Order: sequence, then C-alpha cells, then structure tokens
Amino acid sequence: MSTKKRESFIYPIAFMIGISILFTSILATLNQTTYANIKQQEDNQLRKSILYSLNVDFSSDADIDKIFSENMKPVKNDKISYYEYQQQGETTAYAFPVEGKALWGTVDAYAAVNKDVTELLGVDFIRHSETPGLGGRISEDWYKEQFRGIDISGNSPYFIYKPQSGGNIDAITGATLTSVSIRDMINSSVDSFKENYEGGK
Amino acid sequence: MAKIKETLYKGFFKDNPIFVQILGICSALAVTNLMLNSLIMGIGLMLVTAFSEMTVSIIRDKTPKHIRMMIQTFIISFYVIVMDIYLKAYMPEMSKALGPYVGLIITNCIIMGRCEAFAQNNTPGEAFVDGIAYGGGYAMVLLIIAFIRELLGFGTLFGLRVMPDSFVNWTLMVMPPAAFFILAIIIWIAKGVIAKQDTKEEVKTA
Repeated sequence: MSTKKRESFIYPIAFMIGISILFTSILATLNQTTYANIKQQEDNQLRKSILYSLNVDFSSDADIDKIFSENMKPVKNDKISYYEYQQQGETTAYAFPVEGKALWGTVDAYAAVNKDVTELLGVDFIRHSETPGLGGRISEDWYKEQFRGIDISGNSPYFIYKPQSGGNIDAITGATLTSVSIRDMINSSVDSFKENYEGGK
Repeated sequence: MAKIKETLYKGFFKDNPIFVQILGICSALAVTNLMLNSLIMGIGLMLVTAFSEMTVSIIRDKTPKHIRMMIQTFIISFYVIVMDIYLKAYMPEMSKALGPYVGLIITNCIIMGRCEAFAQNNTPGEAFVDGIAYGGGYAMVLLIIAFIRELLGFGTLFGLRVMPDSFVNWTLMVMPPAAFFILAIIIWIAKGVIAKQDTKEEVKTA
C-alpha cells in the first residue's frame, strides 16, 4: 500500500472505524456469552455472604439453594428490604444489606442480627474498592470474625475500636480511614434496621 | 532460537522494565504485599503485553502512522477488558482480590512502550515473544518484592505460614513505604551487577 493512501484524509478514519467495529463486536460477543455465568457467580457470592453473616454452615452450591428456598424469607417494606432466617417456621435471625462510603468507594455488605436484635451475628463484605492488602483486608476472616456476637442491645455506637474505652474490635493497621468508615457504616445501619424492621415496634 | 534467547535475556535482565527502565512502578508498589496478587498481576500483564504486541504487529503495515497510538491504546484496552471479563467469570475470588488493579493494567507504560518500540517494526511472532519477555521481567521483580514483603510483613508465603510463631510481623513491610525501600534496593543491586557485566563484555570485545 502506498504511503500516500495511508496519509489521505479518509483512510485513517475508515481504518479506525473498522478496527473499532471489529474489536467492539468481539467484546460484545464475549460479554454476552459470559453474562449468565458472571451473574450466577455474583448471585452465588451474595448468597454465600448472607449465609456467612448469619453464621450458617453450608458445604456445596446445592446446599445454598436449599437453604434459600426453605429457610430464607425475603421481606420488603418501603424503607428497607431484608431476609428472615427461619427454622421450623420460626424466625430466628435477620440479615440485612449494609451500604456506605469508605475511602475509595462504596462498600456493599450484609449484616445479620438475632431475633431480638440484641446481638450482631456477623458481617460480610460483598463489594468494595479498598486498596488490596491494606483497606482490602476488611474482607479477611480475622477482621470479619471480630463482629460476631457483639452486644447491640444498648445505644449506638455498638462498635468501638480498641484501645478506646469500651473498645471491642481491632482496626486495620495502615488503613485507618477504611476502618473508621466501616465502623460508622455498621453502627448506623444497625440503628436504621432497628427502626425499620417489621415487628420492631 | 538465539534471537528468542536474547529477547528473553533482555526482557528479564538487561532491559528489565522495572529495575533498568523504571517503568510500571506504580503497580509494582501497589500489589506487592501479597505474592498471590503479584503473581496474577504479573501473568495478566505478561499476556496483555504479548497479545497486544502481536496484534499491533499484525496490522502494522495497514496502520496509518499518525493514528498508531490511538490504535495501540485501543488494542491494549481490548485485551485488558477480555482479561477482566475472564477473571470475573471463571476466577471470581481473584477478581475480588485484585479489585481495581486489573483495569489499571491499561495504564502500565510497559505495554505501550513495547508496542511502540518493538511491535511496530517486527513480525508478530517476535513481538509475542518480546511481550512475554518484558511482561515476565515485570512479573519477576513483582514476585521478588512480594516475597520479601509478605515474608516479613505477614510471616506467610502465598498465604501459608512459614515463619515460626514467635516471629513478630514487621508491619512496615505491609505498608506502601516498604515497597519503595525494597524496590530501591533491588534497583541498586541490579544496576550494580548489570553495569559490571556490561563493562566486562566491552573489555572482551575491545
């Protein structure tokens, strides 16, 4: 091909359009074919997180499906939506979504409380964009396990970092801002759940 | 064959993107506190570089010279998105762990640099090997830094505890400044060794 043609006005534009169409259609196809798979992975991840926060054991994906069809009852009112965890027809715990801003972006999580809303059963983080290895360590077990069994029968704040007086959880070294955001987020969503869940008043 | 060997030697040592060319430093500092993250990041960058270079090389005769950078960026982002989708669909745990860094591969200057410097003037096969070599060089340095940081900062390697229980984690290693110190030390050592070798070779040929 001559250099002249390559430097003409039309050729570069046509070339760029051609390339764009080619690569974009490959990407679109790829996205379409993996969409169902990704969606399923995400749903599964979400369900696992909910069960983790409730401290319910499961061994396989079939287990998860079974628990969700038999024991979980979704509840939705005009303020919040949450799950009731039922055993033999009786509600034993609640799991509700927690959302808030941390250092780099929104954090989505689930928290679970017992039937009387006096004890936090656990939390799990679904999505966050904190620095891997620093703020990202909120999704490590040692951090999440600290939230199990914390008394929330009194008034907010329920969670206080050590070594402040009344401290009950450890913050993450090198990720103070993330730690503080998570603490505040969970404190305030427990409050809002207390106010809004059905049967609370 | 000799050429492949030379390319690999260049990518891993003589022209290593990190400790010789000082490229791609930001991500080298960011993901190196755990070895697993570094490994996946390294492999990802290696594949993206290799395939981008190959593609750029395939269409190099057809590409108008003055819009070549636009085309290169386009191709690189294409492969980065492919990788992101792949991780999300088949390795959700990894996708979660790497978070925003997969998308940020695109900003890594190594890829664009190699596309521009090598793939524009060489055959697709050579370009592919070049990408593997330079991406591999990057991955290697990342793993060295991660090895030191994870070992001293967490007492683990790839998440497995290797240090005795009495070992007190050196928290500084986990924090960003440690990456600066270690990277600087690696560059210092590497430059010293490579510089010495080069002068020896020159004496020989002279």
